[in-house]
Amino acid sequence: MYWLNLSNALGQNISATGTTWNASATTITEAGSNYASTATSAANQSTITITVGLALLTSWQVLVYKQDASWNSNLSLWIRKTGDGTGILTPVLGTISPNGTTSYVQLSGSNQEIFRGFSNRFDVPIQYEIRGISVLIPASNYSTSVVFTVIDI
Amino acid sequence: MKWCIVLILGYACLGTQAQSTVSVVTNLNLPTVALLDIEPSNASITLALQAPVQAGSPVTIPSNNTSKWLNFTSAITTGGSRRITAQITAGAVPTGVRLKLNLGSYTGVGAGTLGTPLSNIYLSTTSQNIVTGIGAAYTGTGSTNGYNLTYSLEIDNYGQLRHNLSNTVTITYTITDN
Repeated sequence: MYWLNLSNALGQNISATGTTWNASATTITEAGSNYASTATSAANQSTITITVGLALLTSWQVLVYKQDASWNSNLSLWIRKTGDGTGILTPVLGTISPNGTTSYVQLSGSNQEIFRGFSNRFDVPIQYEIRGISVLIPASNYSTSVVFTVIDI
Repeated sequence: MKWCIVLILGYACLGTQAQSTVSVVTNLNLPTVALLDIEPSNASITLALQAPVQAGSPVTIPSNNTSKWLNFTSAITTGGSRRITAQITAGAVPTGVRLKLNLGSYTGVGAGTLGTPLSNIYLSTTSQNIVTGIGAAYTGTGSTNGYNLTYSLEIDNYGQLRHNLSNTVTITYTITDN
C-alpha cells in the first residue's frame, strides 16, 4: 500500500485548458472564390500543464497524435508550441525543450514528440492549424481529437 | 533533500513508466455554399439589328456579344449536385426576333466538378438549364474565368419585325440544388 500511494504521488500528470477548438472556413463573398486554405487558432488555443507530483527531478516528454471522429483525408491538422509556459525555479528546475515557438508539425494517427522537459511546467501554449480547406471537400462538420500524452523518460 | 532522494529512488524501484493523457477536440464546419455572379458587371449590353442600305437586302444581324462571364462557387454535401438556369424575368424580346444564349467550355483557374454547359438556348420567360451537373467547384473570379456567355439575335419571322421597336430584357440566372 505504501508503494501504491507513493506511485500516485510521484506520477506525472498532464492537463489542458481550451479543450475544444471550433474552427470555421472563411466566408466566401465573391462567386468563383474558394475558401482560404488554412484556419489557424489563437496562439494559446490550448495550454498544457505537466506536473510531476513529488518527483521534482523527473524528465518527461509530451507526445501527440490525432484520433479522427469524422475527418476528410484532404484536411491536415498541424500543431506547434508558441511559448514555454512557466516552470519552477527555472532554469534549475522546470526546463523545456525546444524553447520558444516551434515549427508546425503535422499530426497523424501515431504518437510523435512535440516537446520535452524536466519537473513541473505550467501553461505551455499550443496553436493549431488546419490546412487543405476547400469548397471541393464535401460540406459537413468535421471533428478530430488531439491526444497529448506525457511519459517519463 | 534526503527525503526527496529517497522518494525518487523508491519511484525508480517501481519499474513502470508512468503516463497521463489529455484530449483537445478540433471541429471544423464547412457549410454549403451556392454563389453565382456575372462578370465583369451586370451592366446592360445592346444588340441592335441594322437596317439594310440597299433595297432587297436583309437586315444586318448584330455581332454576337461575348463580354459576359458566369462565375460560381458551389460547396455541397456528398452526392449532391446543382444546375444553373436562365430565364427572362422582365421585358420581352421584340417580335420577330429570338435571343439566343450559348455557353463556351469552361476556362479559368477554378477546380472541381464544374458541370456541363448547354448551347443554343433561346431565352424565354420559362426557366431553362444552361449548366447541369455541378458538384463541389469554384470557377475563379472575374472575366476569363468560368463560362463565357454568348448572346446573339436571330430573326425568327421577318413579317413580325417592326421599325424602331426596342425593348429592354432582364435575364435572371439562378444556381439551384437538384
